[in-house]
Amino acid sequence: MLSFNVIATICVLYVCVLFAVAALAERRARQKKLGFLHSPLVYTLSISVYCTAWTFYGSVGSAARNGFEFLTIYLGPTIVFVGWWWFLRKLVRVGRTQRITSIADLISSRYGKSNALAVIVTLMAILGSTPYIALQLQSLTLSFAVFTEGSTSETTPAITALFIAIGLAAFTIFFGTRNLDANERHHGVVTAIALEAVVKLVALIAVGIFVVWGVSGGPANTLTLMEARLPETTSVFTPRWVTLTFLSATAIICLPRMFQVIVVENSAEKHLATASWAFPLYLFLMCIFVMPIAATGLNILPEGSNPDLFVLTIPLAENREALAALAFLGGFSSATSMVIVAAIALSTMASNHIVLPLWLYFVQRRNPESDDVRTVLLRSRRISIAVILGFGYLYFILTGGTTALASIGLVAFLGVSQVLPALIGALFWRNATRIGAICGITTGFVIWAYTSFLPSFGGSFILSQSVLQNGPFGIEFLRPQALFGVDITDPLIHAVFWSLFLNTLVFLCTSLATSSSPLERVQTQQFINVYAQSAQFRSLNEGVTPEDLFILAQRILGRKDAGALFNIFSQKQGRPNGLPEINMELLQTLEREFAGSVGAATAHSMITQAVGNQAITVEDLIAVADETVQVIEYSAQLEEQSAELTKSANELRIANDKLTTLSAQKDDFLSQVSHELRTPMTSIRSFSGILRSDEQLSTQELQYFSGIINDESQRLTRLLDEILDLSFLESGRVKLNRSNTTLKKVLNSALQATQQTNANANAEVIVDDTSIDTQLYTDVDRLSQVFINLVTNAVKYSNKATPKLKITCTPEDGNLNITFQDNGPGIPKDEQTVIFEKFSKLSNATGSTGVGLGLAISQEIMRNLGGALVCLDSSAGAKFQVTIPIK
Amino acid sequence: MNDNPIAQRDLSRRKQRKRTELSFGIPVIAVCLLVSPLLNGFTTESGGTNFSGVIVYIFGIWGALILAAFLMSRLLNSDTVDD
Repeated sequence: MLSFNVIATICVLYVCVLFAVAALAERRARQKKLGFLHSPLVYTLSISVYCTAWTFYGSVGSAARNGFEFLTIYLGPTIVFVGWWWFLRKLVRVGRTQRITSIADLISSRYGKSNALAVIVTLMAILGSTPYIALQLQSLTLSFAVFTEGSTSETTPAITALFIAIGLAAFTIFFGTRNLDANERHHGVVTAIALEAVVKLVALIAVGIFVVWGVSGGPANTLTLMEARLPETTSVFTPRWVTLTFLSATAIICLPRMFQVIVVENSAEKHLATASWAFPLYLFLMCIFVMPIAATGLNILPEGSNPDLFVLTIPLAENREALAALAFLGGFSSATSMVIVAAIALSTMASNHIVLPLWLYFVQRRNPESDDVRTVLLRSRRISIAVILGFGYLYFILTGGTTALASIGLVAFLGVSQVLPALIGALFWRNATRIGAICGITTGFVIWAYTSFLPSFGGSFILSQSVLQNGPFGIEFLRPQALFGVDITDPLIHAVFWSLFLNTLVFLCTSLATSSSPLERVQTQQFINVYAQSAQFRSLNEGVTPEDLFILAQRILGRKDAGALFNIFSQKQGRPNGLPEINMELLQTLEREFAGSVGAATAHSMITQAVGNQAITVEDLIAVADETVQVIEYSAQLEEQSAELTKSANELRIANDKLTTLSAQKDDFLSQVSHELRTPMTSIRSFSGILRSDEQLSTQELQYFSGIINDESQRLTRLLDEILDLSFLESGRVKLNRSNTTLKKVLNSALQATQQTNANANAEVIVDDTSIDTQLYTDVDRLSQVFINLVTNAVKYSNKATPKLKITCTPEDGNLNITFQDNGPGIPKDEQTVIFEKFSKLSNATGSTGVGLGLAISQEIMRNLGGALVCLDSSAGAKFQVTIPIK
Repeated sequence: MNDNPIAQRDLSRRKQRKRTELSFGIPVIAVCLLVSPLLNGFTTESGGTNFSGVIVYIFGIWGALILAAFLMSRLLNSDTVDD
């Protein structure tokens, strides 16, 4: 029989080997000789930290008690891993691009970098992992106890567990907190864990082979034995089967230590591809001998033997001490690797999300020195490791180390599973919000604690036996293991159902009822579209060479400037040929130079991306957005100026058109004037010529010819007077003789002047004398001239035998409107404005003798008198309206 | 044969899509075979569970899944992003 001392010595030697392997790996990593350390095999073996003492000892115990049930714990992870492309790949990619350090970090980062959420997840992870750590301590204690049985040693389980906890804490502190690696990878620990993974697999398979071929007499006999000895079940597929498979699939993702090895310690995505089949294979091999060992144990060992220890007790019973020692080392490896990785993961979470924020808040609010932060982080991690192991030890002592291994493990699984809804939401649901995640996780966590964690103490911690039996204050409705009166026989299924159902429900409802902050939305984009982003991110990623930087600089600064800049640095570094080495000075200069071209924030992001192996931070994005806003503003100003220019150009175009029109009008005017002057001049010249050349003319002829000459010269004079008058009126140089008068006076004077013409044409003028006595202050002669013009025109252009003219006066808004409505042919609408043009005559005007200046002059007179003359629409005849201000 | 690079790229994308869709099938089949009443259908006989049947069924499917995942990982490996 192996003595306790021998086993202790083996343990110490084994731990020394682990220390050596870890130290060697750390050294190689520091020297950048990663080689084997960077292989998918080491990655896969490190994932096998999933197989803890619970697997090594507990599976056999579970198989002996419940038959096939133990398989669910390995089928769940198998399903998750064979479907890696759909979930784990995204998780790993997010972890790598966002430089995630723990599951709390991931959840917090996605939900707007919420520290509250990180604290909740951290506390939950610590609480959820505590039973698991206790489980490892228990299994190690039990395995040690096997060797102290019957001896005189006074070592109690509590003391053994204490020593183990202290030893594990020392190893973890030594290798888990050596450095603050930017990406939190621990090559030493991972290599040691990989070695332990090999040891536990080899040990279990060795025991299995021994049992099948050495004890039971071959596979056929073993199968018969299994059928005879293992518990019979009516069916394999039960609600518990589904629940456990689901729970284990969740645990492989949510357990802090699994997240640590799968996501944080992942150095290449293709390693995950290998692990997708290699890890299920590892699990397969770990399980294949579990049932034979259980059946054989039940067969050969005395009634009442603890089935959790069959792996150890069968070789001992068969006097195979070496095999027993190997089995012991397998169990030892399983337990220690789990505790080490869990302690590292939890201490990272505790120090990053709880200790550091508190320290920054209380001690160093302003500008902490980076060395100070480093010291605080390392120290807090070391203390956290000790505290976490302390909690595990406390749980072990409180539960009395009596509960079966499997049930403790399931309590832990369910605890950490509460992160699942928020985690899936983080990767796939855009509307998931921070408040939703906090409420969901908290709800799930409280229900888990109430229905599973606290009852696991069996009434010795917080919840008493009576509360477990009858509910708090005797309220049956709230019984921890029959919540809301729903009696689900299996406490585990009960706890899984209520905690995850209410967790998911609260998460969904609260997320839909609340909205996310801008930072959350930025993060949502980064998480959900991680594949699209990492494709861009890769191009400027890790391993940047001076050549890459040079190409980047050429693109931004231009070939010549980039060349000159790099030359300066090459010479500074004493390298006359080739490109300079990348150093801070070069990067700062480049960033400064880039900033001139692309803006400071973009330049910073480019340089950070090129050399920093990290995604753009939110601060960078915000700065880029600020610059974009400035550019947009500048662009808006340009657009405004451009619009103004267009407007000015249009105005100029209109003015130019007007000038061109005016110039054309001037030409028309001159041509019209010449034409109008030419007609009388021709008559005068002809008749004066006759008078001069013909001396035989009779007195009658002489009078006739000189009469024509006289008439034509008068007409000429009148025309010239009119033109001169119009010119004075248009230029505003006309002198007005305003005086007090009445409309009646002016109108009468006009009618008297036209009396003869009217009589000749047999015309009838009707004056509506309602407002005819209105007082006016105006130039009587000029206004009269306008009236005469309108009356004459009405009579002159009438085609009726009895031309009629109706003059109406109506006061309106301080003005007097005098309307002249005749019964003539009227004025077509399109000619109503043209008639006021100089020398214009209506197209249908017949018998006109005027030159076409009358209306133009009249309109100018009215303008000068402060009134207006317009032509109005009329159904019968022409209608003119004179508007004149009342005194 | 189509030498058009755009058509070739489309073809390769279609193949890649098929590969990823195929990879989705493995976990779905795993769930259907291992976590569904099918399990009882294959492993129950009159009077209780067919013990060796369960063992062969579960471990057989498990092995097949590992093999499928192995083949799939070789197909998908080219689509992973690594530094």
